[in-house]
Amino acid sequence: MHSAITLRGLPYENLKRKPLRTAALLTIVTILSLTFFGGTMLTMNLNTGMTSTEQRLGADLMVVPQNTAQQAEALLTNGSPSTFYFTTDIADTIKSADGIEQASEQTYISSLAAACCDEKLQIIGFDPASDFVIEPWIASQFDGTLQDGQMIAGANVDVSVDGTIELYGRDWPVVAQLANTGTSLDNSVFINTATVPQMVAVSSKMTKNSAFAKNADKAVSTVLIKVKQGYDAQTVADNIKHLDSRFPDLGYVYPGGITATTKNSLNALISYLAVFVSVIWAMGVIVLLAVFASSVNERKREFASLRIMGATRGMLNAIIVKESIMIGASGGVVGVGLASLMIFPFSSLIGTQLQLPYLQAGPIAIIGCAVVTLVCSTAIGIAGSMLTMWRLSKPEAYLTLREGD
Amino acid sequence: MASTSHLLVLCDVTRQFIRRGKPFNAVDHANLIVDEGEFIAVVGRSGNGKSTLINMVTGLIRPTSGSVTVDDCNVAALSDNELSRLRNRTLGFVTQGHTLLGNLTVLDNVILPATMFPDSLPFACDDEGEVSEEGQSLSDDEVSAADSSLPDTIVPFAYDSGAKSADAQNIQAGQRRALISRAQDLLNQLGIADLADSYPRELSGGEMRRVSIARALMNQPKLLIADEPTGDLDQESTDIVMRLLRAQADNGMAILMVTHDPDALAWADTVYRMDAGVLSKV
Repeated sequence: MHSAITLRGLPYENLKRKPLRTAALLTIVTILSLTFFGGTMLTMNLNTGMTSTEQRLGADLMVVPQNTAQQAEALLTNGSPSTFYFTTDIADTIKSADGIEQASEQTYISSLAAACCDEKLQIIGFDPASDFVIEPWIASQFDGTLQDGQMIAGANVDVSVDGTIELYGRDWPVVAQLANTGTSLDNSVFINTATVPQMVAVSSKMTKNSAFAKNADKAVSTVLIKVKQGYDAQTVADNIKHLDSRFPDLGYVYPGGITATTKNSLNALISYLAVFVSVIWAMGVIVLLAVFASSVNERKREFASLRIMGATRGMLNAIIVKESIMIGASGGVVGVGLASLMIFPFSSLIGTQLQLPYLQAGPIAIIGCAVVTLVCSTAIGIAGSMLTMWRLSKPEAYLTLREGD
Repeated sequence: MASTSHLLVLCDVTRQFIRRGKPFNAVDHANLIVDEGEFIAVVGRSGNGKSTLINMVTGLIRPTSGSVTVDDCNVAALSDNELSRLRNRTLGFVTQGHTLLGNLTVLDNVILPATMFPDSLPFACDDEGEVSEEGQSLSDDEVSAADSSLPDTIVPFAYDSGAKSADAQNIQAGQRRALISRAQDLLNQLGIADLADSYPRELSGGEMRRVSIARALMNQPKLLIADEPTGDLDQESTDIVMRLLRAQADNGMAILMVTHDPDALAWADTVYRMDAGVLSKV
């Protein structure tokens, strides 16, 4: 039995019977939604990574050995693992400076390529008793006490089924694995201070770094400082520099400053993304308007016909808007789908390539972004069709058709 | 002049245009009365105002002065919704140019006018307005709950969901059957039933003309306006079309036909001539 046409089904028939025009419009809207969703997700993930970095960098000031400030910054954002250290006597002197509320030491050891991981691991030794940076974060996911010889693994570290990691030819028990942060901390393992000499000893055997092995029990890579209320990090750093004539040469890293540097890179990237998305959208809107404008003339006969059959202007507008919504929503869904296929499976790779904190935003944010993209892609379709509707509001299409005949 | 009980009344209608800065009357103080069942033909040379005249009847053009009354409605005073409804339910319009929708089959082109407003058409109801065998219609209460001024894309039926949904589906299926049956019948009468599933681009000019006529007749209008309905037709097709129009007039439909075709004139009850905008009885 023939399924009779309805006015409701007319927009679908119009799109179906004009496959080239429909495909062209769908392609444009798909590109627009892909760039919008992709660009927004990248921006959102970078911002999430940045926020995560800021949260993890709970210290106001990091004091590191001479010429290692950049390595320390990279380590805290998304850089390569490093090994650098000074000795505990320096650390103790630093901690005596005026304006310090809390101070804690950490030791960084860069592993060789480990069986667990695609890349080198950053081994971070910290003192659970004094730590105020990592411990609160770990405590949110591990309520026990980190014992000597045990490890806590970052999110990207592959822990074997028996709950260990093989490092320097030895299996280390892992008691917890942390959530993703989008920073290099995801490729790190955490040990307590007492385990550091063991780790240094086994690593030195493999790396032949005898100097590090000699200082294993007193090696400190950084002193993390939280300043007292009323002090700023810069002032405390100046206070430290005055403690010893060698101290001005030490590296002073301001997590606020790191984040400022990283933020600058991030903002630059986001600006490029915004410009790129804007240009694509501007071009897309122009093309859409051109396509819709040309379709007004092409469809004049159709609209004239509908009018003489008794279609109200409202009906014509409903047909046009419905076509636009179908194009906009379909293009939006395809664009979001394609962008998702490009972004979500390659999250780690994108983070590595960008060398910036990159953390996948949560599901609510993703769904929200997808919804906004669909709304925007549909709105742009409707905006394009506004021109057609405006042209339809002018004198009767049938009369202009007759004039052209 | 005429009373408003006539189906179509043109009362001292003038339509003025400006050409090269000078005003001229395309239609000049025309008077015309058409009643149910009357078949009126208007002849005249091109550019003498025939199309302007019928465009004023359909409300596509407003008269500069005078009034056009269709079925007791002053066309110039109607809102867009009212005018559209008049075009859909009271008038049928066979245009001079080809205005079939290229995206729809012949059958769908003919059916489409019947789907524009939610209330049932005469051929889907019996004399009491009850549900017919082929196409069931909604009751008055059900119809009145819907805003008839809105297109079916917005308010298709004023039917409750849930318990009545099965009934509603049956009614819609019944109405669809009635529409298809009516459209196929018209195509059959015009000798183009075998083209029902074709698209307009596959038709000759004469075939398209006949599809346009079927479309204009679909809603059983009270007044059919035909602008050169036999323009592209051969003698045999002209006879088929004119026989059908005559039959419609005999059944009470008023027909206002503009034509150059002497063969078509013979089927009309009354012939008018349009000369330099002036309408006069021949």
